[in-house]
Amino acid sequence: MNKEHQKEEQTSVLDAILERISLSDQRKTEDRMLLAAKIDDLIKGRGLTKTGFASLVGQRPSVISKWLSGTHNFTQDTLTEISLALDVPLMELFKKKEPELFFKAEFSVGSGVFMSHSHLRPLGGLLEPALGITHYWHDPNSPALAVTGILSVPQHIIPDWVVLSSMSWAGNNAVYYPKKKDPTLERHSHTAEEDNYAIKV
Amino acid sequence: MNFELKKISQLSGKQASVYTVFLDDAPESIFHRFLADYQAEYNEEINDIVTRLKVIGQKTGARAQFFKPNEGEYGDLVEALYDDPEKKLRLYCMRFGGDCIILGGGGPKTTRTWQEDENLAYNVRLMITMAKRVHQRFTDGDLKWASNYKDMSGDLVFKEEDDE
Amino acid sequence: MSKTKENPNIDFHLAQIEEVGFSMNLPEASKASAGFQFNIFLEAGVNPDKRRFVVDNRVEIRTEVNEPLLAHLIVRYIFDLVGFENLKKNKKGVHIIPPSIQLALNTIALSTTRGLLFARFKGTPLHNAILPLIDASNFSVNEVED
Repeated sequence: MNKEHQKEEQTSVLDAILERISLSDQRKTEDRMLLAAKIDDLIKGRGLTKTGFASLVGQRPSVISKWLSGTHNFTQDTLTEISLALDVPLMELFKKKEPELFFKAEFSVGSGVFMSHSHLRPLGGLLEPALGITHYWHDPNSPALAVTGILSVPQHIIPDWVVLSSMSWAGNNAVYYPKKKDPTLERHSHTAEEDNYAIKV
Repeated sequence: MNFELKKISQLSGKQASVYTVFLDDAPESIFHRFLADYQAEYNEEINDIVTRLKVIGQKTGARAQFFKPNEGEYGDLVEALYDDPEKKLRLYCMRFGGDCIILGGGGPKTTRTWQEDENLAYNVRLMITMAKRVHQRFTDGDLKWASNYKDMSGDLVFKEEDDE
Repeated sequence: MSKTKENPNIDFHLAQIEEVGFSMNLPEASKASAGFQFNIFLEAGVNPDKRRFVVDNRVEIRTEVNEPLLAHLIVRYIFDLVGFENLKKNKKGVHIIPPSIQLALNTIALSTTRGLLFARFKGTPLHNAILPLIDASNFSVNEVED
């Protein structure tokens, strides 16, 4: 038997199993799992642990694990007890959770803080100013040329992700000026309006 | 030990991706071997396992509640699909959050712990070994998550000499 | 209660916060260095029966975009509405939410999530994984279609 034929054989093992499972059995399993998932969401939504919920319903935690496993066949009375403990109507356990969606967004932001004692220049490998913002600030108590921190916004050039955030430094500018005036030091102002930066792809 | 990861399209869906493992150039995967070995004697359990995996892939995702955790070593994500106490057919896997599972093998659970059962012990140890190498590959950057965080992309073929 | 200048007839207030999901992968988290990657998912919907907005916010934290998940948090924010009947509908019967309200909901959700994340990570290897400040007005407005 060559490899391709054998691979077809084993694909058909799974396909054969899938085909022989009755619609009724499929639905029963699916409904048990969806119900278990809903109960789990409700438990978490109330900030309960498994142990906490177990004491609420007067059961051992291992029983709760079984309930939530997606394999349990609940009686209606047990579901009523569960819904009482979760303070929801029984029918809530069977409701699809989705409200009418009007907004959806997915995006990515990065953060990074690098410590450096180099001079006040963007470090090699960090981003061009056009792509990000680099802020410098100094600890007034440290030597004048020491950079105590560089705050930058890395850009991850991934086609599916758009970086939309900035590291806005909204605060009192005076905190970040060194005590001794050093002409070689650059000062950046840090108002929120200047810091806000967005890239649109 | 050489192995390859392959996505099972019949079980994967928008909630989770389900992968299987081909070991040492074997023509069938460990999971398919598991199905073939037990479908006659454990027909109901096999049907239930396959249905549950399909629901995980298509409807619910690989929620923690559907698995028994900590079957392997600390943090290696090796778990077992929860088996009904009355139905004792165990299937081992690696679970990456709710998004992805890699199916291993399994068998009847007749002892209290897997260590006491030769077949189960073999399958768990296999899973632990594979898990180490999969995690290492992620750390090395040779395996990555696709943008949907359910599919793995990169080098899904693990050769013994690669991972030394 | 929050009022917006454009929509004096709609008030909303934050009635409930539900933490729907959380995980933290400590072995990976302890390897995390300085920077973090936050993947953010925001969905907002209106429940006409209960007259409320529901905002679901999921944040996933990694060191780089393709690295293992260090932690995730899913939070649901429920805002009760007063003046719901003043919301208009489009031709498909979907409620039209004024952009200013949408912006306010997103901003509140993200800021509160930031706090919840910090509370969760305090004292752990992810102590410094602070969600950056995000200008929510930069989001492109999506009309979600069925």
